[in-house]
Amino acid sequence: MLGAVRYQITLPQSAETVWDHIGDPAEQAKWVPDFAETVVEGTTRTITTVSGLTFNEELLVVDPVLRRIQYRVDLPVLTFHRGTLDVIALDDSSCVAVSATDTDPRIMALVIGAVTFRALVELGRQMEEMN
Amino acid sequence: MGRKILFITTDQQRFDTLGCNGGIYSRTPVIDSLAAEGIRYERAHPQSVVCMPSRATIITGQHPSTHGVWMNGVPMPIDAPSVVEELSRAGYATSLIGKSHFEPYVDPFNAFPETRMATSGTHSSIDPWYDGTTGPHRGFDYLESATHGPNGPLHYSVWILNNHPEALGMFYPVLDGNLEVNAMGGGDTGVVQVKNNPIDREIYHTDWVADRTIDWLRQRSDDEDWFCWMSFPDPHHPWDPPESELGRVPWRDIDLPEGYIEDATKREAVLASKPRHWSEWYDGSLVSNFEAPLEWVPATLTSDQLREVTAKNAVEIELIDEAIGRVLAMIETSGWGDDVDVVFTTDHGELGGDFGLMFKGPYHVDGLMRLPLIWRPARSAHVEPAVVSRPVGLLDLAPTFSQIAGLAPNEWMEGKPLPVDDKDAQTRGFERVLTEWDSELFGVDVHMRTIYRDGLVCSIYAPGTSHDGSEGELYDLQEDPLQQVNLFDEPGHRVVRDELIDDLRASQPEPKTPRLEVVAPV
Repeated sequence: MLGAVRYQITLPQSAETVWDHIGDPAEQAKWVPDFAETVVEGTTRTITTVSGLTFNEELLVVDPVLRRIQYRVDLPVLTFHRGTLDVIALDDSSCVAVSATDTDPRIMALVIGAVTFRALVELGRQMEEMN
Repeated sequence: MGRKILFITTDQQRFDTLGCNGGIYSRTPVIDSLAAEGIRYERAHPQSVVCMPSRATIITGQHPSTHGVWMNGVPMPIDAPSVVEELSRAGYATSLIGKSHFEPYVDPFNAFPETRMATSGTHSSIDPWYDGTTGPHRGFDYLESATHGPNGPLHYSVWILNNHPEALGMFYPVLDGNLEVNAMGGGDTGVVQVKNNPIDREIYHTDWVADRTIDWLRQRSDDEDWFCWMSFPDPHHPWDPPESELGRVPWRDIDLPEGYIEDATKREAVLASKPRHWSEWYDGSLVSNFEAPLEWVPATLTSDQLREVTAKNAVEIELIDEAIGRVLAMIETSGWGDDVDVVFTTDHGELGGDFGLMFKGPYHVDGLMRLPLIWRPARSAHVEPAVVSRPVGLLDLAPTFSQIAGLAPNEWMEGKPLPVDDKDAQTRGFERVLTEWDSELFGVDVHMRTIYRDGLVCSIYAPGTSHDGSEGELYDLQEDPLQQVNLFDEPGHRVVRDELIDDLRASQPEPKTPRLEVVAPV
């Protein structure tokens, strides 16, 4: 059964500034607290979590014009996964960052989505520091 | 030296499961003797009927709207107020042994301190406290955790893994492969969330919690003040007590629970008189909350299956009673008996076959809301035994603990110290108690608010998946103790209904903003 969760945060910086900070898929560990390391080779991103798990993701979309990253976590427990991170301009000096997680089975949307929620909270903290 | 506090909780226990409350299935002589010597509350309600919000209420003395833990899966903020922190600051040694659940238990990324503690090699939080200092977690300077089996990286699970790995597969798997609450049948009747568990009683989590509590108490000196929360995971499902103990309550020999309507036609008519989500869950068309097995249809529950669940639940309660007896005996042997306050309660109830339903959800009836609560004040306080019939809530526990410790209740507490008798309750205005429910999960939402006052229970609903906001429930517990006649739309009860709704709305706490996010199923 498919399930979806979505989290968002409004940031007091331009969409360009925020995208410059988070748009590189290889640099996610610097703002995703659950990740210890991210390594990108081609369209495969290998993630090592702080808790010691290692898994791969397939990068589906990295679009600096749309400011969107889409990816698919490759884990046996997942029949389907699609993660989406969007940075959407509100005006010249503010934007909203939105993470969406769709999975089958549905409960995994909450489990994986929680990682993106904590990342948005940390992103908000880092953007606050930059201000 | 002040009064010491032993706070005992179970998980998901009905009021009518204790002998002192008229229970017929379990023998509970230890808890009954606490009631005989102390104060027994006949109308204690939780402020939420699921674990995480209710436990946050216990420790903060606040309604869920105020502390912000509005459903399971919402972590209690790390800087939330805690009565235990107040006790710790006042010099109390503090511990929680057993089920805590202030933070989500489905936590594969070890994001929360509670799930990190068991693997960190320390019994206290390894992380800085919210203000940058290191020290106890939420005021507890010692914490050993357990849940309903060897699940997750909690202390009991690690202990079983390291010492009795053969027992790992003996328990019922609470969640299925999709992380949903398991609908697998077991036991003798194939009933959901039941298993005949071959585990030795000595290593089952009930005795483990008591053993670990005794171990912590043995390390206390005579002149030390302490607060110990002994928190049993049972009798929450799964119902998989040690098989060796099942002969205590043979399921084939017991009567069906009073709230179970055997005649299916009558049962379905009663359900149809309630707001729509009752029947929708019963017939399997809508499971509104994570706490009920997604793949289980209540309408399929047979009388024998309910007998088996009821019997296994009763066995678990007898084991808890005996475990409490061991801890109390140790306290008496230590010579502390006269200076220890003992408070016994649970976080919420269990539907237990009422209306053909089990488990819990947005159903504010006595099965889930009427809780066992007993306070045996320290004998040195010379409080007379009493029975309190006026309404109290779990939010009254935190200020009670403060009062026992000689502290003034904090201004952030919304409850009041528990009354010692009905006259005291009347004098101090114990008139109403509130319970709330909010859930939003995968496109389904339910929102309800409930008041108990003057022997009446009234619930109102906000618009949601199954409701347009006009629905409600009203029960007269004097005339209809099983809550089978919904008077909400009866013209003869409209005046009293509207008075209750006005009171309910006027009594609502200000919701915490911004609303906290759900980040786990439970």
